[in-house]
Amino acid sequence: MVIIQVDKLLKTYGQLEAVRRVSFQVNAGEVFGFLGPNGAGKTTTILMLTTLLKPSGGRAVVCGHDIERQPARVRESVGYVSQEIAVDEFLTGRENLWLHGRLYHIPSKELEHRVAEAARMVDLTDRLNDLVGTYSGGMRKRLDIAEGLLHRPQLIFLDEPTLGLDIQTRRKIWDYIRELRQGGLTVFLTTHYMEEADQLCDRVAIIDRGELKALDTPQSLKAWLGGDVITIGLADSSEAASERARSLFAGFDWISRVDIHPQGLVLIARNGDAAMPRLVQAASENGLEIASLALKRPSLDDVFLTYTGRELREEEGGADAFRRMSRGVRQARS
Amino acid sequence: MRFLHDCWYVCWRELLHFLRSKVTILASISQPLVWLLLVGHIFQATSTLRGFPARSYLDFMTPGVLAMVALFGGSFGGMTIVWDRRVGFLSKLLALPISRASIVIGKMLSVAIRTSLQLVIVLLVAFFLGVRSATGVWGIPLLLLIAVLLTFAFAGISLTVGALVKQPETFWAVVNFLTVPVLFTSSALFPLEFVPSWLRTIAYLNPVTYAIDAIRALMIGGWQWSAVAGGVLVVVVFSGIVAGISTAIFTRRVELSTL
Repeated sequence: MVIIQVDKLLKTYGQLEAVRRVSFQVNAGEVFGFLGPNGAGKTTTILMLTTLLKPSGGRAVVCGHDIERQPARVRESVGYVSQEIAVDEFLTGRENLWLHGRLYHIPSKELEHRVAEAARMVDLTDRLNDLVGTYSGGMRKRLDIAEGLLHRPQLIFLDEPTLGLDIQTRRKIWDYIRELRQGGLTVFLTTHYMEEADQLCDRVAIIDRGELKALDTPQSLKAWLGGDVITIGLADSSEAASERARSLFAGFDWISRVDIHPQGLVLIARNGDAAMPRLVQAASENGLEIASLALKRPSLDDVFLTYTGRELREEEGGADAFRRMSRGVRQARS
Repeated sequence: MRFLHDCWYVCWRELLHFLRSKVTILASISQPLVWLLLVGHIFQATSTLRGFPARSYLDFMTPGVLAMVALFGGSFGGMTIVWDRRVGFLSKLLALPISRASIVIGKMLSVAIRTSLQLVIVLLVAFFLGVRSATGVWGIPLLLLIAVLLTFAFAGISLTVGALVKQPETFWAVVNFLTVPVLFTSSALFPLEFVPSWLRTIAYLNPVTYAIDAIRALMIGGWQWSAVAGGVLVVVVFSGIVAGISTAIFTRRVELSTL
């Protein structure tokens, strides 16, 4: 069953196309991930799907309701946990949950049960009567997620659920997400952490600069690469040397792909273990000196790199793109 | 029914904020005191002028101070939107299945409730300073209602500003730019008999003047129904219009501004 149907969804800010006519489907009961760097259009897509932002074009149906024609119905059927940890620090945990639940029109009696249940799920029962101002970042996030679940939505949107959290908390949140999935909830999450997408998602969409680059299970995306990833650093880092090496390696039929990246040549090789000595030999026969050599099993990182030509973890580039985008947004508004 | 329920919970949150901040409570209590003690005496000499419409300057000023408290108390309201947007709470409210109007009206309501506390304090202090209302105890609920409606309206204006700007600095600059002239072009501080005619004309375009005149009628003149009914009508219509405009602007603006 399809729970989210997106057709050519578009969002523009003046000249800037934040989301460029993306189309995809999310099935009920799956954990669906949007993977991409900052400024890729992940949050913009979520804001449109949760009816907080009007699309510039295209359409989407969420839980059977059109996002533009029935925004109230959409808001009733989904939960949304934003990137910012939006809990009220001047209220206690219980008051936060209570406020949220009452605004979802859950009857008081029923809400009492649900508050207790939600608090148990995110391990906050002991701290429920304390002001949120005294909570750690991880606790606030957990409270925020609990709020998103109070009205028992069919679908929950988690925008960067583990952003800025320590490893332990991150793993805990992953466990919650797995539990939710087992309970039959559909989860739509965005992340720029590869590991997160790999560990949690049934299917992953790779999004970059407002466009969907790929969509599949993490396993298929990795298998699509068709082999292991070998990174070769040449002693001579000139462009000419890199080009020469590229044409040399691309000639082997057990190499499916060669890309030149700032960190060296990235090759996709069938049976990487056997390929390494052959590569070294071929290089030395052709007068190319290899300075470094690394083999790894493919990860989503490599998939991303292959699809976009950029590393996901280029935080600089990410921040830059984000600044570019927010500037564009500001200009469009002024 | 559901709308009122939503307004109440939006309001409830704001009131908890108020009750949790001891400094805010202390400031809200002492501020009207200062207004009355300071402003209530600063222009005292005007009361010796011929034709001054009250027994003492303090009698004359108490309604003016009530209006000032309503104005300044109300104009604080929009800050909560600027703040909620900053911390991301606004998007959370917007994602809830409640009407956008209930966010605006709920916040306006909370400002009116907390300011009514200040209004009561002004009245109590004025009483201890010897001010007596001509309509006695029975006029007090009515004049409080007028002041609270005025607060409600100014909370709406302030919330509109809050929906339009993003920075606290800009917010305060705009709000002060609006409230101070409104105060000085009303009958709050001086009897309109003493001001130039052009200023009098402006004053009678200012809804605050009608609210003050009605309160003044109740406190000084007695049951002067025409002034009282006129004042009530003006504040009711004024706050209704402001609530409508504020909600419309808020609803339009937040569509664009959640990012």
